[in-house]
Parts: sequence; structure tokens; C-alpha cells
Amino acid sequence: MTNDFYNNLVGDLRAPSATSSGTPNVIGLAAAAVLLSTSVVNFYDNTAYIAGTSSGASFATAGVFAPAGPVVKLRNNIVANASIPTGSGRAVAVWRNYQPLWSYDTSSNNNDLYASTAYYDGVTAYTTLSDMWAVVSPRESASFSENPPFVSTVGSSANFLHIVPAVTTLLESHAVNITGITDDYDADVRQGNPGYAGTGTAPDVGADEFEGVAQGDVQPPAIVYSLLGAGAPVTSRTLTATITDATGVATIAGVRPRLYFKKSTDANDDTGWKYVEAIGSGGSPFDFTIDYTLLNGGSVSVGDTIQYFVVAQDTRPTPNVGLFQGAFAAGPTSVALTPPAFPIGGTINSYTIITSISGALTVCPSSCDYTSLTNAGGLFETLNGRVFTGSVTVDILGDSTAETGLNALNQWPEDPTGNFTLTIQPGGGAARTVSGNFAGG
Amino acid sequence: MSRRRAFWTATARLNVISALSSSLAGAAPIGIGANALARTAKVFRNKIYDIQITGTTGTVTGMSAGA
Repeated sequence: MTNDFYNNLVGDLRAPSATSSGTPNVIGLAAAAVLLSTSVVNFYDNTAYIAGTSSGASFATAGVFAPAGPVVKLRNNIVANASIPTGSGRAVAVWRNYQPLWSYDTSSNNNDLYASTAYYDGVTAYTTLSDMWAVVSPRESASFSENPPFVSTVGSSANFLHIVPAVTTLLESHAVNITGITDDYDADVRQGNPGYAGTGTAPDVGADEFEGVAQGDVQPPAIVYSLLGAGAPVTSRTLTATITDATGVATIAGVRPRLYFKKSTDANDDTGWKYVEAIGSGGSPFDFTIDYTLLNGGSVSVGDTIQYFVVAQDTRPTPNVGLFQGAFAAGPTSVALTPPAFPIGGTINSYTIITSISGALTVCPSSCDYTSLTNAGGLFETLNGRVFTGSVTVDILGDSTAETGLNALNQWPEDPTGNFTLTIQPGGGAARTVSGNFAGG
Repeated sequence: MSRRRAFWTATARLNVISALSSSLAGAAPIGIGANALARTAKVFRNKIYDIQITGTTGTVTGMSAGA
């Protein structure tokens, strides 16, 4: 089943006394959960605008609401949620109430997502587009957040949710043509289709094709990487980041993406933060080597916490500079951060330096590295607190018949990531018995 | 025995939906909803505004697929 919603104007929706019980009180565009996962809902070229607030204790709103169910595709929409939440409520642009991304079509893009919370998956709220990109990439990479310059938000007006002409806006020429959609709400021909008489270079975002002035790229590069787990007390470690930008990511030496890092105990200013530039001269993905010798003190020790973020700038004459994850004290003009950019606020990613392990180990009742697998002080308890710097092989050199099952083996961190293996095998040329009783069920 | 039959194609276009209000607790007014029985729904060039609930619970929805 396919539902196509396009060129619609939606606004002036109100719930002035409503309190949320965990879902939105006002929704612009919804894809209901009753639809099967094989269904597709396409929202193209719509304009949805939400404003107002509620006297309720917890008021929540969503420009788009899509719980688990159909695959939802968002393209070329204005999703403007200017409402004011109350209590634990949120004003969200895209509220999915579902963490897996398979039902968020990967081609979703070119939307204006304007709200105090860009994205909410039902568990975690992502305030900014940069935060959102980190979890939904490659979706929405060319989307942006701009308060739309509407002529009128009064429903009875003929200009309801139309865009002020001649205004400089990202809405102008920031959409892409969708097969089968050749005009707008008013039947005005969209750019790129026969009969178009305007000066745009691409269709406009939203339900109104207008004659505006295109604004250049004002969005910083989108930065995505996998968070680093616990690290080993070595001299360096690596991180790979995918960095994209509508204009282009600056890649020449001096303005290439940088990774800033410091110990948590160092000052959150230009004396504490050190940086490395992305390796090589190519484009995304960018590899970084975090060089611990650059840190104050010149090394790391077990127990240290290392904070880090990646910063990148685009190729605009006045560059847009973005970082992940954190917030500048004052917006910089280059990846070469100066004192006004500090202290870095918001969430800053970090990891802890812990003891490493690799190589050969033994287990037996006495005179081995460990006397059991699962007991207190046994192999598993130890491995759960280590970072693997190589594969580990454990020889069982004697029977272990008093296992308590107290400690299960957890997924281990690696530094560097090496897909290391753990092999537990009988040793000494004889079969070994591992047994015991576990009352935990 | 009866069987529910699916609509093959449903279309809503050029509608103006406005002035819907409900004071019922838990009210859930929707401007335009494409029923889940529609195999294909095309909803375009509609204008929806002035929909509200005045109760303390409920949800106002402008447009909904699978309503």
C-alpha cells in the first residue's frame, strides 16, 4: 500500500488545554501505526506549521509523527514546529517513537526541519540537526532548519503558509524534483518542469513554489562517527569519521577536519584541548590518530578519561564550522579554534583508559593465572574489566568443577579495533571438565 | 461469511478543511486521513486549518496516513 501526500498546507492546529501522556497533542503529518511495515507513506512538498501552547502540565507536539509501522519518506517538506512545550513535553520536528531506522526511508532529505527538538525517537531527544544527523545519516543530509518566512499563518488568508516573495531564504531552490509532481499547491509550475517561468535553479521547499532569493549554504558539515569505547594505556588510537556538506568539506592542510582531545582533568580551554588533523589529503571518510604524546603530561594512564570531538568546516568563502559532539562558546570561523570557542559545552564524548589484555592465559585449581572462569576473581570478571589489544587464548589446564556462574562474559572493548578473538580450550593434552551449579536460573 | 474489501485508489484533492472543534476527553480529530483499507491514496493540494480540541486529553492531527 502506498500513500502519497503532497502539496498540502496544514496549520492552525490547537490543543490549548491538553496534557500529553507521552505522545503528541498536536501533529502536523502522521503515519499511523495501524499500517503494515510493507506500506509506504510519502510526504512530499508539504507545508506543516504548528504554533501555540497549552495550559496543560505536559504539552507535546510533532511536525511529523511516525511510530513503528509503515516506511515513511520525507522529501521537500516544510516542517515548522514553533509551539511551546510545557513540563516534560517536547516540540519536535520529526517524532518517530521507534529507534530502528529501517522504516525511515534513506532518501528522506531536502526538508526544512524547524523545531526546538529536531528529532525524537521515543527514547532520546536530539536537539539540533547536527545531533540528528549523527543518528539518522545518510538521511536528511541536505535538510536544514529555518523559521519559514510565511506571508500569513491565518487559515482564511489566501496567502496562508505561502512564502514572502523576493525574500532570501534556504527554501528557495533547495528541493529536488519528484517524479509526477510538476506544480505546487496553487498549480504554479515547479522549477524544472515545462512552463516554468521563474529564475530558480531547483524547486522550492514546501507547498509553495515562489520567486525568492536563494541563500547560500549556512549549514556546517555533518559529522558522524562511532563512539570510542574504553582505550588502552598506549601512545595513540584511531577514529574514523564520515563528514559531508552540501557545499563541500574543506580538505586542504590547515583547514582539514580536526579531532580535539584532552584529559577530563585538563582545562576546557585552548591550553587543555589538543588536536590532530585528519590523516592524508583525501575526503570523507576521514581518519584521525589521537596522539597521546600531545596531551599535557605527554601520556595516558589507567584511570584517565579522554574527552574528544571532531570539528570540520565547509568550503564557503565564510566557512560554516561544525563539531560533533559539543557546543562552541562562540561560533568559530575555522577549525583552527581560538580561545573564544572555549569552553566547549553540551555533551562531550569521552572514554576511559583501562588495563589492556592479550596473549595466552591459563585456568586451573592452582598455579595458573586464574582458578575459575565465572567465580569472583575468575577469568570472566577480569576480562570484563579489560580492553583487548590483541586476541586472547585461554588454556584450561585442570578441571574446574566449582563454577558458580557469578560472572558472565561481556562484549569486550578493543584498542585498536581488530575483531580480536577469545579462544578457551583444554590444555596440557587432556580433556577438562568445567562444571558447577548456578542458582540464578 | 463477509470479507472486508480494500479500496484500490482513494484520492483527496483541492479540499479546504477547517473549523473542527471537539471538547470530548481523548478526542482525536483529523483533517484528512487516508484509510488503511486504501491500496493507494493520493492526497494533494488540500488546505487544513483551524482544528482544535479543548479538552485536557487528546490529539489534533492535520493529515494522517492509515487513520
